[in-house]
Amino acid sequence: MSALARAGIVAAILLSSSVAQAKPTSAQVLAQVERNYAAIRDYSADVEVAINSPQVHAAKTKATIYYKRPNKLKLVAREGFAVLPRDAFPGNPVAAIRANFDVAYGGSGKAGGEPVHVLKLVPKTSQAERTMKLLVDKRRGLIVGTEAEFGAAKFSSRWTYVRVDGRYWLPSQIKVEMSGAMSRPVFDPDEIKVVPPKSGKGTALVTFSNYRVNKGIPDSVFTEKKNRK
Amino acid sequence: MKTCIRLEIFKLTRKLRSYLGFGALAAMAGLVVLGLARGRPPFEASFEQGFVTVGSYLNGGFVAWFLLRMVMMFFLPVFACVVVGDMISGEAADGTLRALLSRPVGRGSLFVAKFAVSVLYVIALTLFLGVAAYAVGAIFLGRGALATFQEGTMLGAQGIYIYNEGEGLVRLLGAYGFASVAVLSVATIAFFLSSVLTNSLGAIGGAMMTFILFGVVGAIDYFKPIHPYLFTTHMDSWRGLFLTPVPWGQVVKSLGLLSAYIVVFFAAGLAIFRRKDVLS
Repeated sequence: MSALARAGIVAAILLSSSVAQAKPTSAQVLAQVERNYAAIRDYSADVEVAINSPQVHAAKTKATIYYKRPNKLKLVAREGFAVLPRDAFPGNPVAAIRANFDVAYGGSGKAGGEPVHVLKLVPKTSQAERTMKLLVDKRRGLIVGTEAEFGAAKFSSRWTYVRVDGRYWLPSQIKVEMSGAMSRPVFDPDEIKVVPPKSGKGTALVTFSNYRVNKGIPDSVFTEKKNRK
Repeated sequence: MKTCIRLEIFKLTRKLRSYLGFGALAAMAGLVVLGLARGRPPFEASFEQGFVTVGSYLNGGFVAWFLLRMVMMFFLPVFACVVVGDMISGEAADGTLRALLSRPVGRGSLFVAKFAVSVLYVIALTLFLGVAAYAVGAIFLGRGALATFQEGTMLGAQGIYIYNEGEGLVRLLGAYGFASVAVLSVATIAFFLSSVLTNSLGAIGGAMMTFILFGVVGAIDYFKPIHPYLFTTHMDSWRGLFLTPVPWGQVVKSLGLLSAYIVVFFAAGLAIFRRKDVLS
């Protein structure tokens, strides 16, 4: 083998390893996200939700979120009942992602001007008509956005964070935007006919406040009481 | 006039039929709460896409909204007409109207006093429904955020509307206020017929016939051009108070039309009653 060929092989190996470094695996990105939650044993926070969509209208519903490691999550509506955006209550999102999705690295992108990793999430249950992308801030390893499709409806969210007790990054606000077919066909008793699904756009704003981290939450909080709808 | 009104209120309180509506509505509130507490919730608050629900929407506020939705287009007008339709014709049937008019009280004053008491009765009956529904619901199901469900395209709306407890109560109060005016529009027809006829049954039946007839005409497409002028078309506009944003144009227009019915039938009744031969 000539010196030139040897140099070519070495260059190819170096190049491929540098490409591999630039393109991390989904497991590496998830591990980076998980590091932010490593020191959090439990937390609770007050949540205020405002939704304006063709399907749901809620002015300012209030709830409390409780999270306890490894995957206990509980939402309590402070006025008895609340409708909340499905993906805005993560607890420790990594555990839920691993449990429910097959994850693949989907490249790089930008969200809010910041470089992000894009992870593609495919539900493990085949009946779920849902695909999702997760945007992870490259610098801090925080989930800063999601993009999801449920059938003919599209949802995207952007997350902003607050540093709690000077140590823990936790969401302070999650803004969800939705569009597409937003309701199911319903029977209209006034017109005596079935009304087709309503399409349109909507927003939901979830604001977190009053975080209490690692203060201890009894398991009884997560015991399911029989709720009626 | 005040004495006249006080006397009419006294007479109203002495009649058993005055309490029929209150009793029936209280019983309905109890039955609805029992049904909601033990049975299947009337609306499916689940979403295939994007949202999760937390907790239960069943509470006092929901019962007050749900019951108004149930009784507004039949029972409430019936219970109101049963009493209001008897206000003048009942006196005529009992043979007390002539004696009443022999007192130094003008016919106009008596008519206005009887109508004022009718208005008070309708307001009391409607608000009682709201208070009873809310109270019974709150006792057995609890209090909390108000969730209302708009099926179909009523006022162009569809979906679930949620308000915190304070805002929910304000909207319920507005809805029951609107409902009072709506029920009064039917009751005024009964009152008008009561001033024309000497038979309470005729007055009550006549008002209910008008109510049902308007309802039927309102459901037939052929009569669409006259739908906006039927009071039955506008009685359900209270639902608009549970939308965001509130379609104030529609709500005010409905209130205006219902008020016009009240004024017209009151004025017509007064004109007839002033000139009427009272023979009994």
